[in-house]
Amino acid sequence: MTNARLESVQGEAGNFTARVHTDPRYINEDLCTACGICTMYCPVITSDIFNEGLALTKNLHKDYPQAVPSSFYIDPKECLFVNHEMCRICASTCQAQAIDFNQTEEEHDLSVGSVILTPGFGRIDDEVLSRYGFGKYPDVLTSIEFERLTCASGPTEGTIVRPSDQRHPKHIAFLQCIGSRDETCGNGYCSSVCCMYAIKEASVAKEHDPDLDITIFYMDMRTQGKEFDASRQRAREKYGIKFVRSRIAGIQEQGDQLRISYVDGRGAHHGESFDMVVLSEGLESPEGADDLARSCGIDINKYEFCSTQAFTPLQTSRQGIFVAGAFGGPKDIPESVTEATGAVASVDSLLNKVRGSQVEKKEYPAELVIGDEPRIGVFVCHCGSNIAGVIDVAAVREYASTLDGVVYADQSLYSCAQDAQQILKEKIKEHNLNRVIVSACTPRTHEPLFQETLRDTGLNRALFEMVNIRDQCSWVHAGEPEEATEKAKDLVRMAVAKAGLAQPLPEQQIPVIPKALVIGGGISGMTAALSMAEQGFETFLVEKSDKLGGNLRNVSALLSGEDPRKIVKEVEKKIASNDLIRVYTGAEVESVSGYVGNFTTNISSALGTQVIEHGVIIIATGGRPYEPKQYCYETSKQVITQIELEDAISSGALEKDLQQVVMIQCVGSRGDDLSYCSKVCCGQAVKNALRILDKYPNADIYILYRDIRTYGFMEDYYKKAREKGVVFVNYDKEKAPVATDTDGRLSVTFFDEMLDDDITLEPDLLVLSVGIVPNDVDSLSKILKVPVTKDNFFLEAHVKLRPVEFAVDGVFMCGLAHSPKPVNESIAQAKSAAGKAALPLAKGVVSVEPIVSKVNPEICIGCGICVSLCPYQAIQMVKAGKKKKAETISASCKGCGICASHCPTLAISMGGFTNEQIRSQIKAFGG
Amino acid sequence: MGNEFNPKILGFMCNWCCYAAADSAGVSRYQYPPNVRTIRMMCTGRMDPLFIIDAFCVGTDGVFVGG
Amino acid sequence: MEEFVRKILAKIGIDSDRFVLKWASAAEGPRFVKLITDFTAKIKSLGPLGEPGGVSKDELQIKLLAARSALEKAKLRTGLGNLTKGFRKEGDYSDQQIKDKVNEKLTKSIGTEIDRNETLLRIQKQGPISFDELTKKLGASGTDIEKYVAAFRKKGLVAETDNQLSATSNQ
Repeated sequence: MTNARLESVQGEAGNFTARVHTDPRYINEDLCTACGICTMYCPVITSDIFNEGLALTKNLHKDYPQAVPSSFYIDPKECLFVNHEMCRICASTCQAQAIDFNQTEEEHDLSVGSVILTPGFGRIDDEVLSRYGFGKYPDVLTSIEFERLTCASGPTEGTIVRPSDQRHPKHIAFLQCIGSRDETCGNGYCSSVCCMYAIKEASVAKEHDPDLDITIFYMDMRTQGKEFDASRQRAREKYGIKFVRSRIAGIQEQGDQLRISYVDGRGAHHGESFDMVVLSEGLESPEGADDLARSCGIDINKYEFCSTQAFTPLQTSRQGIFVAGAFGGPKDIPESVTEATGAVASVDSLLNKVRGSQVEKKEYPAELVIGDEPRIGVFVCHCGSNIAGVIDVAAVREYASTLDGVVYADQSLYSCAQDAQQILKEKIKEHNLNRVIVSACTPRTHEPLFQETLRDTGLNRALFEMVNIRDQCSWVHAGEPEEATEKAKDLVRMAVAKAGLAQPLPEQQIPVIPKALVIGGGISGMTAALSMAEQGFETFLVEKSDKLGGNLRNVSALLSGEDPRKIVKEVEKKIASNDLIRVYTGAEVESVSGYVGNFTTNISSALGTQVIEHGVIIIATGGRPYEPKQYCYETSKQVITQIELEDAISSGALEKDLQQVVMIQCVGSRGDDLSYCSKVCCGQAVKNALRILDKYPNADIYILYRDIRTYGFMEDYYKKAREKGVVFVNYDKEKAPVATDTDGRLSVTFFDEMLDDDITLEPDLLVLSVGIVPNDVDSLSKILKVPVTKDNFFLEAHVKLRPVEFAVDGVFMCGLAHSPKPVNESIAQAKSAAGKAALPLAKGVVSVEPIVSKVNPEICIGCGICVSLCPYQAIQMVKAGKKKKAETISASCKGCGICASHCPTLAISMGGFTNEQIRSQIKAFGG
Repeated sequence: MGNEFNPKILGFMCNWCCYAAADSAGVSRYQYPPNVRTIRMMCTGRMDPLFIIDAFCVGTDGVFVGG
Repeated sequence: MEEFVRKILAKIGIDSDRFVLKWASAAEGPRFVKLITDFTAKIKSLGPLGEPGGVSKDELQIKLLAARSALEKAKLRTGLGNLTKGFRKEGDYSDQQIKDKVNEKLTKSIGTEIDRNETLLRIQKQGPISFDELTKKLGASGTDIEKYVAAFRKKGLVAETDNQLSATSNQ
């Protein structure tokens, strides 16, 4: 449902009525073929909102080619018919008759068991942007405008030009924290994503134009995510992007340039001129957040984001209503995607009893046995005038009918229309066709539709072939009708050659063992296991140590006040009382064999080796604190880690007259020993500083930091700490603090930029904010054949789109094993992994696409090259008598074909893309 | 017309990348020379060097592999 | 794969610019258009395959067929497979690394395998043919060709009568 908003949610978890209001789109998306003729005729030109107003578009349009649904829409604000009852040209041009001005606003009452809120984020107010010259100086852009400029399919096709004079800028400045960390605009929080996207945009810009000179003005560079610091380093070293820690004082036009005045870390004033200024605007709460909160009956925080708790990060204040993405607080794409699946797992926990109860399964007629002789039918589509307006469709049909194996050729106005499908079925029967070719638009959108029709007639879907003569022919050669027609004929000839060799391919469904294995019993593994069980699946939870709980056992409070040890106990109790979970403590995974749906694992413990069978695996092996050797940790009792400090605070072991404490950030992290940022230590230092001040209000606390990374709402606590007198002193990695232990007297010396001098303190305590080290991953990554990063964290299949999955099907990850992160993020990720892992278990089978590879054992020489090249672990060696032969694990195969193209004896074939088929296409291309 | 050399070009395109980009170029009605004939694959991993030699054997003037 | 194919093309006398491997994501329609437009222009500037300046069409065809037969056999394919396996293992896919490794591991066998197949093909298609004639046409070292021919004779694929080589009837 698009153009829709949620009006109210009545009822209770498991039984809600959600009232949804929809505004008319004026185009029936079921009928619209997205041909785009209407938009050409729409006379109203309007600002292209998707491109931030940097381009013009038609009032009847589609934001971008991949927009979902794949249908155009009419913006009522400027439509001549909607407002003045004139025009309607679009309606007369639409041959699919999809344009419908009779559409009205509607109210829909939906019966749902649960609600997930994902309204995203809002934009920073223009008034705030205007403080930095936005709106006044044309070459001051927002980062989102700049993003559009650098986009290859954006308004300038990726060319960066100044809006004022269309010249290429040479000097570009990025200003960070626009509308973030700024109480004057009501946004005290950090937007979390802007530092990283500024680095990305600047790097992309440098790739476009290596001569660009780019400076990023920032307060703290908050690149705390996985591999983010590496990007920052690349930006500096590879692209020469300059980073200046500063506060912006003002921005003025000076000639045709923009002059930025700023104050640096020492308090000195500077001025610098730029051709373009990009404002890294923060993430605002979504527009209408208060209305949404009211209609759902949920709480929002003072910044109008959804209120959540650290241990229930996806749960709103109302039972059965969940939240994912930036509405729960500013966050980036990987985290949003992670949370989305996590929210689904939460819903599934609530509703799994009724899972699938409203699904109707489609039945197909039994498959026909086809004769050896190809009887090919070719159907050429006009697509209204989309194809026929350029290509001589009749000539293509005529030509097709002359080709070998073709027994029938036809043409139709819209092949995809309902009636055309009916005709297609009749013709298949009438002419006893055993291969079908539709020459129309792109198989990427329409192949499934035609394959479905084939299956309805009893033909295997592999007997279908599609020729793309619209998207890749008539549309792109509109001015060359003769050449386009020739091209269409060639493509049809190639398809006929291929189709002649098509064979029915089995529709395989591989049964799944509906059980899960979770490796690691910290809070991530515990959450994942509990979530799997709550979704209805038997779960094995394997923990190396003798008890569950992991690192959280050593943490006595969170920034937000909760006691993690209590929560661990609660989750532990739930696990113990859940019959579906079996816990193995003091146990390790010894070996794993099998593939998605059918794994067999040996678990070794004091009890010996136990064998379990399961369908999926979740890795939650976690991490541990870095063990410092720096800063006299090993020699002085006054030097402790934050975890040790937590223990001392909660057990009351701190000395009575604590007067001075120094904390050093990034011990071990960010190039000290570990290359990455450990993400949690800044928040931890701020938390413990505040806790000390609670007990010893007069204590002097110094936090020596490189960048304070209290992202998101944590920023409030950073501010509170500063207000309470905690002194934050920035240090450079090259000028790190020095601790000396002289005869039991500890002193710390550091350089203070403001005073431009070294300062030496003799604190009561020196607290080291040590980083996080992943637990040993070596053996597990080998057993499961899954990759790790250079820092030994597990490597996900796709950073943004598949953040908790591996390329290998059926294996998932969460928590510190993926990267350092605080507990709320670990929990969200654990739920996410459980949500993803539940998918194959809930389906009960793995459906195999017919495009998978197949090894001919007669020809295979057992060299094993395919096994080592397969990115999905989808080929294994099996014993065949005395020899070894390769064999595809269909359930894991994605059909990429790297095995086939690298097989020394051409023994591997791909479903629907056999060597013979492709080579026949090539031959047919030759004429 | 007539005398100008009109090369025969064969394109092997990945379903998820270049083939999709080509579709998207179509949706936006970008125009380009009509010389390329495309063979769709599920991934450029499928690309066997043999196919390229095959293509030149049948008189192709150029082979474009698009991942 | 890319560098491997370039080497083969170079070996049989096809301008390796006639083959490209490019990347465009699903969202990069304009980039795709540019790639295709540029490539078409490039091929136009190179002219038709096997035209003046280069080898004649028939000669090129023989070399292409030789490359094809070489690529249908296990030797070169195993080499390519093992090489790719190596890249996967090391995780180094830089252009320089690929160039170096292909050069180090495959260039020689590409040469030998294509020559070997060309030898047989020529005997099959142009035989009976004298050894000298064969060597001249192939443009490879006589000692190598001698080795190939000897092997073919041993397998019974090639026979020699009156200093003329010809394919045995079952070929």
